[in-house]
Amino acid sequence: MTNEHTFPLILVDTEGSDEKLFEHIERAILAGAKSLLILACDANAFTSNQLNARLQRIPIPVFGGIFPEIVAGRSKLVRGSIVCGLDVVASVYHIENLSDPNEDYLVHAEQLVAATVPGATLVTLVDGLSQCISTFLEHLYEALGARNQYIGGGAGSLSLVQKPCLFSNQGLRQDCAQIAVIDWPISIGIEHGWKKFAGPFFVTGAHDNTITSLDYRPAFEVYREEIEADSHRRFSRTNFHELAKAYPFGLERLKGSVVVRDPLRHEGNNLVCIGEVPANHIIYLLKGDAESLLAASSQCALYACVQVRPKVALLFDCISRVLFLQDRFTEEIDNILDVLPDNVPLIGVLSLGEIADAGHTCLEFFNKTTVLGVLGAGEEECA
Amino acid sequence: MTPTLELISIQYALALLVGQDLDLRTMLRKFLPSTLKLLNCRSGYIWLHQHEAVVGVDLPEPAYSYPALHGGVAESQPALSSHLRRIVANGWQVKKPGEIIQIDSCYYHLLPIGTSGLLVLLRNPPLPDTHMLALGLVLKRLETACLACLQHAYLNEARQEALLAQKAAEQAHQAAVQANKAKSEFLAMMSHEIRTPMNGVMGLTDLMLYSEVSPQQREYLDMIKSSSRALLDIINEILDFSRIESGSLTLNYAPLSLRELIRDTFPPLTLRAKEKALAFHWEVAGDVPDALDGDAGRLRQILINLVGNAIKFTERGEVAVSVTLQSGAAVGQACVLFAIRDTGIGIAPDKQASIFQPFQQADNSITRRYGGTGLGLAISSQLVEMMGGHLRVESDPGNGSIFHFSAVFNLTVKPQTPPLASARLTLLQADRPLDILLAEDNAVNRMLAVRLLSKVGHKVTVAENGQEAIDAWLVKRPDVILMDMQMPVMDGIEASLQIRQQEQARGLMSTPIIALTANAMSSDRDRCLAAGMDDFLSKPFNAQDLLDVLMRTCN
Repeated sequence: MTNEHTFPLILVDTEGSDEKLFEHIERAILAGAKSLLILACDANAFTSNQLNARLQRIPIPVFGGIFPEIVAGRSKLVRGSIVCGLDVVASVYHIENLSDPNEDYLVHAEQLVAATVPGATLVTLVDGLSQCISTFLEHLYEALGARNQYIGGGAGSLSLVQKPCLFSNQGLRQDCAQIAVIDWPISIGIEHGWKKFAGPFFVTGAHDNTITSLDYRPAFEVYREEIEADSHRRFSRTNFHELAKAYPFGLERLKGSVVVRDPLRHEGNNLVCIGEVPANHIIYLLKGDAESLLAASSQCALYACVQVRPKVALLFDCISRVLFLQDRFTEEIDNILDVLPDNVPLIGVLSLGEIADAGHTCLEFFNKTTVLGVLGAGEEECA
Repeated sequence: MTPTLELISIQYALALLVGQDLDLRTMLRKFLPSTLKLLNCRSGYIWLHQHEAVVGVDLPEPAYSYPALHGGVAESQPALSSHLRRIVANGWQVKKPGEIIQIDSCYYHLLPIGTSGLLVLLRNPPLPDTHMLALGLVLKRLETACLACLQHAYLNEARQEALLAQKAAEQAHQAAVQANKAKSEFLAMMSHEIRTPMNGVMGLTDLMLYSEVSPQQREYLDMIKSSSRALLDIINEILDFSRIESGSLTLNYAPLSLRELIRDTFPPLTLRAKEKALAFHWEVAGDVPDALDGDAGRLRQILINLVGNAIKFTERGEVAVSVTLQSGAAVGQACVLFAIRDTGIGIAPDKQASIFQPFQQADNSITRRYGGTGLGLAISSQLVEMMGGHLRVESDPGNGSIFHFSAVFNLTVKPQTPPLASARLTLLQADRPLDILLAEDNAVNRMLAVRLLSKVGHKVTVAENGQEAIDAWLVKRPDVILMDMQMPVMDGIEASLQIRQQEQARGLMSTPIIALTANAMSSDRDRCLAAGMDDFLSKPFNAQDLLDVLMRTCN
């Protein structure tokens, strides 16, 4: 995977040690990298005390995050890190307080207008356990609109304990959004492969990322009835995630499409999801099978691999797809690599929610979705 | 789900997004982004208009756009802008249910918001007509919500203006209160400044009247005294009015004998009536209770003002006062009606209301002929109001007037009134010569007091300020101290406090201290007594007043 003096310079550590991480950072800098994208696994157990002082000494822009798992080529790593040296200067901005419903993100997003070049790609990473991600994205798109393209996802731990998870030149950051402006174009594919199986339901009660009632009934009661009937299994105290990973929600969009919302846990009769669920919306229950999900990953790669001279492929794939596909997840990566040209390296993360701009709709926060972006320097067929 | 059901469910969700706030921009911000997501649109712009053709005018900026249009619609969307300009020029007319224009492989949906606006949606692929029809119903609702927001904004603006006006009025009121306070302070200060030399003039006149003078000199001195008294009355009236205006005037209630009060008040007025050959008589009805709780000084002031006016404006005939009991008073109270009738010049009906206003007399010729500040009736009217009654007038021009007022008094026991000292024409020698320490900074008043006190046999030591008074008190240990309140270096209040502290610290007998002050406020009396002084004499005072207070304090 290592390809010195050719950018992007991708250095992979499979041990997950901080020494190795900073050794790779050093190597990338010495090779002439102008900015660094760092992707690391939650299992590395990196802490602020361990990293911050050394991150603050890095002389070039740093961005990236700690995710449940990461992808380097065909390898899915549970432990380890990737340092991707870029020969382009990334301008990195942060917007704090991503769980504060009273924060006006538009004011901060408008400050980015003057700092971003039209046509540039905004690698947008968020603390995936923050509560106002959709609101932030809505305001980010309101300020910057279609003049830029967006790709990213939610960092954090599958333990669902919020902790510092975004790399920056100031150290690890928590409960914030990170926008890295890279003056390269990108083509993006967004697919999930989940299909409607129950609904429509009317979201009669919801706040932030919590659904309180569906069709004027307690949300979990409705959810449990449908899932237990379909799966012929019963929810117990411990198996919520095991059942729910196969039955996400789908927010209604015109012409049959849906935006997936992943139920994380239930708190009494409330259902807590990754990403906001607006009240008064139509919602469906979705289910999928390995075939439909894997077909979606192939489709996603086909959409992404058009009209650019590819330099690197960035994958934001939902961790819940790994949990659902289990051993067959390698096929998802294979599907993508089969479409990507051989000379285009693939790096990516298994994230807590995905961020992308499909090009014909508004910017959205997705769950259980595969988002593949191919960054390139020009417009040319991939294959 | 069938396409129809899908459409209806989307329509329903959109309808619920309408009107979530009364602020127009917030409402549109809650509506448009969610709508765009539901409809899988890329961007949207909302214009609100007056449904009128605007030829030759640039397209206005949208009321809301998602995402924001940087640099305005003409710069960021020139082709769309060009299309829309034609629509604006055509009175915002759009095909129903909407029309779609294609620009560079993008489809712009132009959807009317009722008759008040236009929604432009960018969506690829374009929406079918059925969807635009379904959206039309939602946009009618949006029109209503927009108009409600605009109305709300209008009302808010009106309310803000009203609040601003109210604030300005409050500020003006505060400024007026401040100005009034400044005026009151100025008047109080002027009163003090005038009273101090007046004390000299009146005291020295008194002193000369007590000495051997020729009849002509006595006549002149009487004229000086009368003029001084008139000047003092004017100052007192202005001061009273100022206190009433500022709300600082309060009534001092104490038991009084109504008949004694009238008997004491009217003799000087009888004299004045007699000088004009007028008959003057008064009558208190038998059922009017005599022992009342009231402010004797203020009641006397009202009666002197009204009877004095009656005499002043009557050239022939009579002035009569009747005091009767009115029914309807609460248990333990008496409502007493005072009526002052004259056969004078009377007051024209159109002037009768204004005479109770300050600085108003029936006409300017009255002022020129009879003089006066024009404050007397205004003050009397206010004092009557404070006593729970109303001062009114009935008048027949050329035949006379009746001024009448009622006042409510609590019934009480008959007061113990000290016998009035009879007016003396000569100063009697003091029974007991006193060692008096006089603290007074004004040279004339100092000289007057020294002469007067020496004349009756007292021994006077003088100090020109409070510190000198303390020093002299320590050395001389006088029988009594006459202490001016306002003095340089140390004022009378501070000097009195220090004397009382030293007396207490050294276990000395208390030396009586009498305050002499040109401050006429009742609060000044309270301040003096609180500082440990024993009595209080307001300037200007006549000689006998000073001797009386000395006798009262030292005995």
